[in-house]
Amino acid sequence: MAFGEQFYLAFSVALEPLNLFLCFLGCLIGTFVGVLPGLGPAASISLLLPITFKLSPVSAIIMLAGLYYGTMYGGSTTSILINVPGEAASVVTCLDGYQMARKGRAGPALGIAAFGSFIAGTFGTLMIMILAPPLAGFALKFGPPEFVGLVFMGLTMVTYLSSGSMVKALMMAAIGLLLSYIGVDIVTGRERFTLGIATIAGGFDIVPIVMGLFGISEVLLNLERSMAGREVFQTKIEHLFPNRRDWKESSGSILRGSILGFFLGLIPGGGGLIASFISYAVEKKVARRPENFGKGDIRGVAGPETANNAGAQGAFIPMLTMGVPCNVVLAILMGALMIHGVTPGPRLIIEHPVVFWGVIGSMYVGNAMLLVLNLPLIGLWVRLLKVPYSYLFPFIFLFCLIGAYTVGNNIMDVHIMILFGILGYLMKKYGYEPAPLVLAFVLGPMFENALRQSLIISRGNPVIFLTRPIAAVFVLVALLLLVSPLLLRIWGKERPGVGLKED
Amino acid sequence: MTSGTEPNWPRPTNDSPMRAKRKGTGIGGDGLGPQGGKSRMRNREILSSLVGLGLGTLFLIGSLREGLFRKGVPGPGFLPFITALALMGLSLMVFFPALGKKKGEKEAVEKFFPEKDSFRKILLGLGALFLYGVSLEYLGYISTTILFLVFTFRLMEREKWKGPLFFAVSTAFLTYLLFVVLLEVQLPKGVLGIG
Repeated sequence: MAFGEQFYLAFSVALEPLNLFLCFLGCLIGTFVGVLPGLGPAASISLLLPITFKLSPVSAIIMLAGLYYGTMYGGSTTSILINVPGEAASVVTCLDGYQMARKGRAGPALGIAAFGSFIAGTFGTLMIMILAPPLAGFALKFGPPEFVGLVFMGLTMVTYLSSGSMVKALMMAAIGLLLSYIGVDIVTGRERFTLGIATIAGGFDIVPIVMGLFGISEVLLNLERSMAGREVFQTKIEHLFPNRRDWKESSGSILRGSILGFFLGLIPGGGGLIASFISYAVEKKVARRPENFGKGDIRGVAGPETANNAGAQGAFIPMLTMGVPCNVVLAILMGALMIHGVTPGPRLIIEHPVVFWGVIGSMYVGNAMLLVLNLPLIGLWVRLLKVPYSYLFPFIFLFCLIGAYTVGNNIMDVHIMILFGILGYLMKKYGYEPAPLVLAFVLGPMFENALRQSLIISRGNPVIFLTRPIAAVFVLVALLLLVSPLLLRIWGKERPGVGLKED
Repeated sequence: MTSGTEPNWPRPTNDSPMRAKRKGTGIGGDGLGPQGGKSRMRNREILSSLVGLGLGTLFLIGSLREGLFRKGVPGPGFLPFITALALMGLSLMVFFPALGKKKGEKEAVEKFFPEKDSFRKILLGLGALFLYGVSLEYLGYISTTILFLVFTFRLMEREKWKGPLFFAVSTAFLTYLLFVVLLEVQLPKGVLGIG
């Protein structure tokens, strides 16, 4: 397909009235979720999943994708105004954003965050258009051994980039894999590890697990604390359009943030969070006067806020072209596509061009919508922050309950969700992260299937993963990542992920 | 995250951006001070690694029963066996270092329940969720939702009645409209059939 044709297809799908409306709805809810601290994109996408069952696959993914990159816009608002990140990827925005607000420059801070996000989002979408088709073509050559290597490397990278202890993250990945084995074995058709319980004979569903681990547990953690002390910084928000000096100062940061963020988004375990942290570090390093950082430097807002949007966009590529989601949100999006009978992977662009190009078209439209939603309507979002948590959490609970029930019209899913809610709560208390568990759970069945197929091809000889060059590269990178924490400890350094914390 | 009065979401202060880092491994006498209990992290790591070890053992036994190989190629128990073994090994990698830590070592680890009221709120919150799951199919969506919302709204603000009741009833009907009428999602009507 020629480039012009692709553009035409992309926009003809995205501009259909229903898709336009759903894209808007996704962006609106995304901004809402981004603004509200204590509810992240992972939980909210799974909350909306049941709503999309009646829609066509392309409409469903347009809305859910809009929600994801919408949260990246909304997250900066609370960081700047109340020094509390609306979601994890905006943690570093607090540092300089809040200081800018205290100096009466909340307007330019919010403005540069929104414009930077728009530029990065558009750049990221353009890069998906350019990079995804050749990457998918490359991935078409993958056989089962290459896929095993890819997933193995992906899971290792997720644990490597996780915030706490890598051993604990690996434990979570192992538990995720074990959970994914429960149910019917794909090759033999036999039930495994079900203990005779009928509800899980078909395996666990991802929706109750994610809602429990990310929705219910989050509410429980907020519930146990009194909610005093959240104050919106009292200031007039004016000059939302940054002046020429602001632009001049932050244009380099926006450029670097876009490119850096996009490529960091491609890495499994990457995405908005890591992109924003690394961008802040880079900006501080290249700045002529780094001592201004932390005191309200606009570059400290422009860089990370740009990078997290570019990262969120880049994260779509591995899922769309290889069928490997690199963070929890993309894992749920992939689950959503599969519920609709669309399997993400190298064949997606060929078999479902409407889905692929439609999502891309909607990303251009969505980013423009978000700019409008975030700048002129900023006052609305600020007012939203004054809603007390005691009125908010019952709604989150209720939507989780409805969501879990409607996935399969089965009350057992509600109980499974509550169980995973308790588990997630305990995991946070004990220093374990839920993300590796969910990713391993999603990738588990494909991983096992590919592994067994590979070993059937090689008649049980595991050397097949090292004799095929692409697979060997993946496996070697994974092994390197596994041993590197030990080496780093010997040299007295830390893994890059250790400084990050996702709540 | 050392103070018990902070809200839970990440909250970097102006001066120390990475203050929240290394929550899971925040051990050592770094001046952050112990908060009453001793060896909190040590006990948590020992307990959680034992849970991992137990889970691994269960799956290990299960996978052996499934059979590791069939006709020379991996069977349904093969990968579960390896994964379970890995989980057990990893659990031991958490267990032994934790065991090696001194008992009285001062830690900057938060109490399990940060506030006096925490346990009660968690218990009531979970109880409400559980009861919702139990009664949904008997009472139907609307009745259960109203009861659930009134209860949870009052969990935080115990004095008020009017506001919670109003919000509960309107939310129940609005969500019913959204899900059942507009999106045609099936929700239970209950034994009385009134929703």
